[in-house]
Amino acid sequence: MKELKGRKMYELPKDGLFKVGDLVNYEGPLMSLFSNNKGDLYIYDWSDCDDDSHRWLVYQVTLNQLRNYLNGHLTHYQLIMSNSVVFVVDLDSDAKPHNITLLATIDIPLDYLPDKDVLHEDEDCPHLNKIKGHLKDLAAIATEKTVVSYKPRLPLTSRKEVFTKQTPGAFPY
Amino acid sequence: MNEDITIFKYQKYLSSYENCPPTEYQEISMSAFRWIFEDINHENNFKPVLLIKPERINDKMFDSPEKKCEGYGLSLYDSLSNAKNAYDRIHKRNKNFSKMVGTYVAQIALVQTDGVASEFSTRKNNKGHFNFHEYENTDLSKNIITVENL
Repeated sequence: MKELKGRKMYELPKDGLFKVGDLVNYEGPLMSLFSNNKGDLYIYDWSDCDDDSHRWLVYQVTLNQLRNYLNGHLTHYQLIMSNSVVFVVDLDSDAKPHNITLLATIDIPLDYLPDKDVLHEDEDCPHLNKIKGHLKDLAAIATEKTVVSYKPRLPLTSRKEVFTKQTPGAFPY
Repeated sequence: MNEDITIFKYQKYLSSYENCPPTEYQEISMSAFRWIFEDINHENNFKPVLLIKPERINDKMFDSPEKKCEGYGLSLYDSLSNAKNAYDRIHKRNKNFSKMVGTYVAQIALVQTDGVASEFSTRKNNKGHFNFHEYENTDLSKNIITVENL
């Protein structure tokens, strides 16, 4: 497989990831969603292979980006390029990672990227319900955290009072 | 079904699963289409996915006995256009997909003594796809009629 620019890494710093499901599969996964118990989301995009290994682009996506992709508002290309860097990893037949590279997205070889107009299609996705269920759970957890952690940043006074109490030049926020 | 050809090519694997191949699979006579490599004798041209990469039997994709059974069959299409459309759709997303399946499509003459076939898929993106389990003495490479670029 081709040599890549970028920085060689000793390990893929993405411990604790578990597979949620495949977003694209043809006799094997071509695009898969992984997550961890913090709710981070990572995509593994199949990009190349040789006799010994399969090469994957690994990149993080936000919940909203993934929802937009699934709803057809973001292309596969945009999903990748929304990151400034991606990891490239070669997985051997035991799924053991080798040759890990941190690569600027602008340096991704063109043949590792999808056409710019490719959108998600439900028919390609054998685990759509599982993936949507996981995203729903993450959204619920995020809402819960927002409610629990909300603390008013200002005393519960009227906006008028706040401004009239401020000394000149001291912006209240 | 002829008694002396009911042993399948990969019988030792199929025997591990109940109803494999499924009883609804049927013998057929038709022209079928399969992606192959430029080298017409490439070892993977007519090899089921679970024999190309046996370790994949643990993949999520093969998480049921029915799916494992399918993994010992060959992917075929019912028409040239369906074979090309399915390839193009994947190739738009994964440019190196051809390294796994080849860059040519072979037209194969299937006859009833070659094996049994599933129903044809009606899925929009994989229309005309079907799974085919070969009988013991079948060699589909000998049944190629034409080959053309994908």
